[in-house]
Amino acid sequence: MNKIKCKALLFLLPAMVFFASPAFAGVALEGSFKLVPAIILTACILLFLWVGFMNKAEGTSDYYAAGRSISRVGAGMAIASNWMSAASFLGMAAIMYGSGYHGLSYVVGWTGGYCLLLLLMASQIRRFGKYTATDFIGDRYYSNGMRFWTAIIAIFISFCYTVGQFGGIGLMFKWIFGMPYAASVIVGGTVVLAYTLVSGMLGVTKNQIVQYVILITAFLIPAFILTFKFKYFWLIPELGYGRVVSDIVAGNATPFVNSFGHAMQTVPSPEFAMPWDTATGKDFFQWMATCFALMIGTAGLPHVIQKFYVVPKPADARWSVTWGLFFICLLYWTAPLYSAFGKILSSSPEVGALAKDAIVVYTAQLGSVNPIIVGFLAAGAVSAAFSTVSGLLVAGSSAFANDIYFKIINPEATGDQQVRMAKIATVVMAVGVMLVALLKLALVAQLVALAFSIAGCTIFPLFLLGIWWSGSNRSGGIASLTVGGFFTVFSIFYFICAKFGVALPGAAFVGYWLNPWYFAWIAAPLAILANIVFSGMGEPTPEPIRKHLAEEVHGMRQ
Amino acid sequence: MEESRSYEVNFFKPSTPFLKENIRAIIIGLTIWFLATYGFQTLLKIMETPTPEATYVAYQQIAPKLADGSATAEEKVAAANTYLALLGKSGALLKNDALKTAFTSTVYDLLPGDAKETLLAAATKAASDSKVDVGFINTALGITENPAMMAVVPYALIKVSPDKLAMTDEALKPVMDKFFIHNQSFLTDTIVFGFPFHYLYTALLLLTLFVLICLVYCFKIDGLMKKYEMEKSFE
Repeated sequence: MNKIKCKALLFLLPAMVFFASPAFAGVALEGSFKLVPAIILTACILLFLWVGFMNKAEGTSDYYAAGRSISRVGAGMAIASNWMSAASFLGMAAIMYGSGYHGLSYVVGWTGGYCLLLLLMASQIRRFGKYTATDFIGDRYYSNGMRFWTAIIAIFISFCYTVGQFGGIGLMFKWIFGMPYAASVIVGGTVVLAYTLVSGMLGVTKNQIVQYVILITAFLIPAFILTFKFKYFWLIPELGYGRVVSDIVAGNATPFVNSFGHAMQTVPSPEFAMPWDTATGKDFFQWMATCFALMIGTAGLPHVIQKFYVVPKPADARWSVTWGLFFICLLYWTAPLYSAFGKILSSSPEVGALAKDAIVVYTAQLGSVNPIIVGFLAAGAVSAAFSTVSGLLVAGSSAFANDIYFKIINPEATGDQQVRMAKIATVVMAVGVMLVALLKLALVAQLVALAFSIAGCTIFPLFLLGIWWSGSNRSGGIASLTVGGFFTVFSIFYFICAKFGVALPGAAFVGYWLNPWYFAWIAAPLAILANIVFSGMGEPTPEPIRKHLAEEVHGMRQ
Repeated sequence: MEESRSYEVNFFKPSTPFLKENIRAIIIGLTIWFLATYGFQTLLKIMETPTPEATYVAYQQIAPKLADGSATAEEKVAAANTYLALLGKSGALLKNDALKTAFTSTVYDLLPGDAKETLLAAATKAASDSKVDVGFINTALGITENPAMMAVVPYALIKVSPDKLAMTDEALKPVMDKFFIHNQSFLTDTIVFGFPFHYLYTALLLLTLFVLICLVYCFKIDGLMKKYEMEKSFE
């Protein structure tokens, strides 16, 4: 019944917008209140809230893991929408627009990580049978200390990641409502908080499916329009934009103009596509390190891992990752198109410097795409940020309520008390994120990449060895976490000092090799090494855990 | 059997037939994943040759002549076009005064007498108004058919004094090296579906391969589950 209502509303949405459309006009890229996008966005948010209310969580297992009642394709969509944040929707095209081929290390890193997840972890995590990433680590390494510290790390990762998303939400609210950044962060944040709180993960998962449909439609339609309009191969825009790339490289003339009437042509710009071009300031090592750090980070992010507990069976975990990756790729195949069109349409110096993070929306505007569709695109960006934020809030709050409160502080707690604690934690976290986002630190946009490196060198090694080597024990786990934690603190410390102009010895060396974006490239292998070495020195893993691992996780029953 | 009773799990020493096959599939998948991702980028790195753009190759011949005053009119036009192409690459370069001075000086030098004054006036005006008429410069540089270059001209002008022209400048070399030399090879110069091949590979084919790896692995494991009749007891 609910499903039918959902679909009906999805169809109603464009109709509502159509009738409200004539009020929107003008080519100015930024500025005033935009009515149609505002209506679309409001309709989307109402839809999310409504879906959340319709699928309200009832009880602990509902709140954390949606009662394990979601189909494979549905879970795949939820994985995709949970995964694709403002960083995917807006940020990737922005990096490619600014740094050319270097940006593709993000595209590859953020998809290739799913191969690691599937091949090495997905069904094993599901079979281990816990609710959260922290739970797994606490049980597998039989240590409440480990549980506590991974919970803290999980909360910190979710926090960093969420602050980054609020930047995206702020940018789009600013674009749509023409209201100041601070107000848009508060309004947007309150809405996300409201429905995460009311609906828990069941609402979140169902919501994420709806959000995926909205965000992917919003992202793909302008891609078809742009390729069609400018006479590229539009049936598959993901292939059609290839000639745009070549046109940029060679500076070829096209017969078209952008919405300001500037010719759609660049001066010859091979730096847009050639690998590790000196003009972009990024080199080969940085490409490889970024790509690797993002891949292992993907396989270590608590809110991503947590999605595998939502599916009924291990086989569903595998298939939902595969579906998830496919749904993610639908957007990732298309994202470079926006940077290419953005580049060629904004080449005239008269356009001036554009806010890179909004390049996706500007590209559609510069390509004279219908304002309704541009509005829908902006609403899609907000959807992307919303869906990820809600997943992150659940991951962060459940790390607190389940792993710290229930497992460590008050093991007697009833289900009701746990849910209440989770809700309180959600509120505290959301308010904290809003406050940090309001500070508008220069760091904000970089926090997302940082979250990946942290996850990659702390949580990923623990899962990898925890699943595949019964010899990995508490001593090894503690050593591994210490190494990962040390690199994290070290890298962040150097970065912040550099930011505030404090000269530390070896700052240039650390800034290049252990940059917060990609320090996991070396920190993760070292954490794994520490795990192996120190496991050899400690007491062996207790038999019940080895038995569980062998029989339940790897099916070694004779 | 001995090992499984001791409940030992080791990725490199699988103890059941199912695990052996499972881990074999994982290793094959990961090897393809690794080589396709990092192997290709390494190949790209090994094959690359720093390749200057054509306009920069020509410019390097002309620069000494600009310095000693022996450059011909055509060579000056070519040099000015090189400066212009560089200025058009990025908004940041439009703030490079040495580069703008080199451009404006060269154009000043190659224009006929009465147009020189018009240029100075246009350069003064361009500082505050990009709508300045630069048609005569476009004509002199032979770029009237190239809107991308024409769009840059008003932003490329800077106030110069005729007695202190600097058509070239040592300080420009690092900037030109940075923006005009690209890492190219047959992998980047082969065009497939309109893309430079390496771009097509990394942005599209690689992602498709990731999906395929996952898909094949899923089918493989489902098959293994059936083969060892583990579906009911294990999943």
